[in-house]
Amino acid sequence: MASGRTSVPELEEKELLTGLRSGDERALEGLYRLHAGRVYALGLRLTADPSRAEEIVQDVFLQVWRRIGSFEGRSRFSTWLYRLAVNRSLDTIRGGRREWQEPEAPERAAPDHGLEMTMDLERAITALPEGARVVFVLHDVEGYRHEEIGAFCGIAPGTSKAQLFRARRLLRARLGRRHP
Amino acid sequence: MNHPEWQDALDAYVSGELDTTARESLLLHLKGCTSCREEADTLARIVNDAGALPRSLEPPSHLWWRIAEALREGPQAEPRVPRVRTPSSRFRFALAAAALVAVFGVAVLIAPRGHDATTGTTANAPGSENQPDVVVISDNAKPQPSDWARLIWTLEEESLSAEKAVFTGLAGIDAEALARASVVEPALDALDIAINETVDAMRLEPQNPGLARALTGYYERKLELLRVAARLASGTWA
Repeated sequence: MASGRTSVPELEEKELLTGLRSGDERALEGLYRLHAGRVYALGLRLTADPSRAEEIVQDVFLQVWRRIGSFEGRSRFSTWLYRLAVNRSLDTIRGGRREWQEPEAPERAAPDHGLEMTMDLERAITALPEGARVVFVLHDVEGYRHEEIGAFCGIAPGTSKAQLFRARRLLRARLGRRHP
Repeated sequence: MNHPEWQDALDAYVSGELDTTARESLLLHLKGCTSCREEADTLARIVNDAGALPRSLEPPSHLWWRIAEALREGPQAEPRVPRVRTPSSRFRFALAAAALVAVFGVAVLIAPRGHDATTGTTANAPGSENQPDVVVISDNAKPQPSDWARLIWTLEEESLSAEKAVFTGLAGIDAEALARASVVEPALDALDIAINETVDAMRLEPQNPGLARALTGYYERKLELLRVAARLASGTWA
């Protein structure tokens, strides 16, 4: 917990991981402070549902706590963590399709410039059909390749490309005024 | 779009995934095709804007406490059921506040007024024997982490449960009523900021009983504002 004297944000990620492996809850909190925003953003954009995004963040960090032993350090911790987040988000989507509701634009702090454009784009992304939204977020926002997306989603890379194609055209139609 | 045969190439082009030969062919086509050039420009803007979106969005301040609580419950503990978040839009809030007219009294369960913040006792919300206790922390009894984590949890849980109940009871509300209720928005915004900052401060100073009292007070004021908004919406507030 945060009651220790060491300032958690000052600890290096490597030290935090060492602490986490030894069962130090403060280390998990430190990693949470470093990475929760990214996990939350990912979950929010993939699910278009703030409540589910919270659930994803919670589940992912509990997984980190329980499964840190399986992280061998071959990749960066953040890479491992975000993959957990993507997988957890996709599980949520697959498990909750019947409960899908009209999405709302995520609430967030945006840079001063281009605020309106950014909000328009966020809203347009949340309104995309699920498959197109997932691929668009993973490819154009998060920077994953079609092969990786295919592995995440259990689809062929070509299907991922087709969904991206669809997503961009839908966004173009939706954002036509702002992206002439 | 007059040239559907170029659509796939345009997509790969704006993704930077087109090989050199195909790229040169496309560029040659774009030189002479206005519609495809416009299409390429539009797609490129969308891709660039998407790439510029913030990678990190601030999660709700209470979220870490839910995780910490789950950790204390043990390694096999299931994650808590996510709570209904405070509506992100004050327009939605105004809807909810106006709906309080129909279900007035629900929000009374939130941090009841009148409990003694100096006695160090635990109080129940009036008429809610089955509701979780509200932990009241005094100067004399220094709070333990479990106390203030529970306090935060309880206040937020009850507040959000009440809002959920409000939404459940939501009925048709006219625009005039919404406008009346929404005048409390600035004060509510300020209270939300104060609540979030107090929660953060409690994390840093868990032994500070003043913060616990402040948090309870902010929630009480928020409840009072909900009441005011409900009266404004119903026209019973002069």
